[in-house]
Amino acid sequence: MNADLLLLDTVERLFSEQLTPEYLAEAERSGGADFLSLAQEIGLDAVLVAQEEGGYGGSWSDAFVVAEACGRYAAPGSLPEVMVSRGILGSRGTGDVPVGHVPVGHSSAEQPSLPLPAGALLRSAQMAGAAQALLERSVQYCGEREQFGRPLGRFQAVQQQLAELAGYVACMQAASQRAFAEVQRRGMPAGEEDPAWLAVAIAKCRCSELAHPVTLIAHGMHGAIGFTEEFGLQHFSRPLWRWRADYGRCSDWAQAIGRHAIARGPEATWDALTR
Amino acid sequence: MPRLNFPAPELPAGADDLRREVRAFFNEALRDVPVAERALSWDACNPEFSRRMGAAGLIGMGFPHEYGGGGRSQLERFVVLEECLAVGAPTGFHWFADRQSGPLILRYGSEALKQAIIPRICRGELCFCIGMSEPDSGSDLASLRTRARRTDAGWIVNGTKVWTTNAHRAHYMIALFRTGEGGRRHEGLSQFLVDLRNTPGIRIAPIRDLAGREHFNEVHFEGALLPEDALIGAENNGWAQVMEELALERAGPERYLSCQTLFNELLRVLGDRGASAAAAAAVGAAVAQLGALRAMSLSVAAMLQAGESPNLEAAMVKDMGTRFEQSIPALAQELVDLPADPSSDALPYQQALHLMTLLAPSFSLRGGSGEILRGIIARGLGLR
Repeated sequence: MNADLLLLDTVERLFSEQLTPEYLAEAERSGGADFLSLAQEIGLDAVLVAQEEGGYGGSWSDAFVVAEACGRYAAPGSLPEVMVSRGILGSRGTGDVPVGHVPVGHSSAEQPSLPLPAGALLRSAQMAGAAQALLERSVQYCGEREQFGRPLGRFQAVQQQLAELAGYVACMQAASQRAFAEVQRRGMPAGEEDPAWLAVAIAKCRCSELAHPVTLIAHGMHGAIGFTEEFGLQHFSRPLWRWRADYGRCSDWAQAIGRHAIARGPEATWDALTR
Repeated sequence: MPRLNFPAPELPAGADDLRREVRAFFNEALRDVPVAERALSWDACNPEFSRRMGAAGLIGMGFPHEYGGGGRSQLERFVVLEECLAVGAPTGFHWFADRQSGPLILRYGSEALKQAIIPRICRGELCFCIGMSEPDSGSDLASLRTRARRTDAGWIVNGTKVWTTNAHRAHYMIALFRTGEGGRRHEGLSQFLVDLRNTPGIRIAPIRDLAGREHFNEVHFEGALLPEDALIGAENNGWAQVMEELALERAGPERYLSCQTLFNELLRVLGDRGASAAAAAAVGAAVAQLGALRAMSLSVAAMLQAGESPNLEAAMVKDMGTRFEQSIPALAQELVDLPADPSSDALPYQQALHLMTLLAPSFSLRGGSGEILRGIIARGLGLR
């Protein structure tokens, strides 16, 4: 499932121009609500809305592109939530809202609340994006920062840590993209019996679990400078620490996945993983 | 730094039917295969089983029709491989040939060689082994010393390969020998096809592993004479060819499904005996790891199909995948209070636990250690 390259290009351009360190610092104080208006002007909130209803008519893989970029650029405000809720509800804001019947977790207080699987799906993409940003910044920093007469990235111990970090980020990216593709193919799951449920559960479970090692390594590689307010690493690590508990923690999803696997047995579990 | 991207490919039309056929085939073919053999899966050699798979068209699926292959895509082949591993089909006899030696010969071999070898691989008749490591060259493969010297009669080979899985069963070895003098050590290496059963001057000595099994070997070349056309690909281009081969070797589903029979038996035992919430969460976290690794591996299969060279991504699959499969015996032991037991009247779970506990250390060694893989990843990130 490939996303629209034009959309990708549009998103990268708007986000990289707008979401500068200065803007992000200001948005910390103001809430950054004007970013949603900017994104709405070019229709990013309507990526999932059908063309005949005035939307972009995109797929869930397109929605991944927007949500991942929101995490990777630390976009302030509720663009991802608005995009997903418009995708579920349609342009008029009506229709059946699928509600997860297993009430695990909750969304951050300041964000509009989504049905459980949709919220978990969305967070997985934002988390994959924030983790990618931490990886990029860590690799860049270790290439520039010199200690003992050479860049940190020349030390094998540092290389091994960054390689491990990259593996975790790859895992988050792959699990999240898979979940978006499954939702596109089989519909947004309402509950555990629905076909795309497992892929969404896996994505959120993995992303929530990996938020810890990802932030640990990224902050470890940066040393004290990454711990400052000004340096801005926190724009990516703090959301990860919040989001990992949104719409189900790792253990909530793991328990639900495990209960099913044990109750259904190995053959049905394998079938659910490969359908 | 390259942006990591793992798009989720859609499986081709017909993949569902293929999967159903493969499941039906294994359902029948595995009926009399004991759990001890299924637990080993792609580590278990069963020539008769490989012939049956060949007759069913399940080997060489990606090879061209004209050489007896299935002419299918990488993604369809992926479906078959993962179904083999999920049920623990004993595929070790043909696995290397199907995965890397066949593709290598198709890419670099002469027309005559392709016609002589590939159809027999597809029929499940041939076992290949891979001659890379040497007594003084493990992770530092480019330091290898076994030399092939060109003479009027052919190539004369002297030296020793070690840890060569299946050499004592194999018909052929794809070997990496030193052919050049001086220069950079990555240069001057070449790949050869060695007929292990018809070449004087080759001595094969099995090495017993810590589980008491004999599957890997020392292979001594003592003036062995190989014909001129045993050279595969270009002389002194061996390093580049081997690196291509390793990309095929590293990203497949066998890098996270080596313990799948044990994991399946664990689910069965927990289903029978009941599981606490904590046990369910531990199992669920493992299923989530499995699902995420599958998403990564499938994405790499699509990149290979598109003709890309996803060496960085493949190294990630193997590093994370082998760490996952190595964790399964310890997880099982924590969740179920039943001892490992190799006797055939013990529960299948206990037999599988016994084998996989002992074998797990090898998972991250074969095909490149974790440290080497993370070095490759670091290079891909621009750090080396």
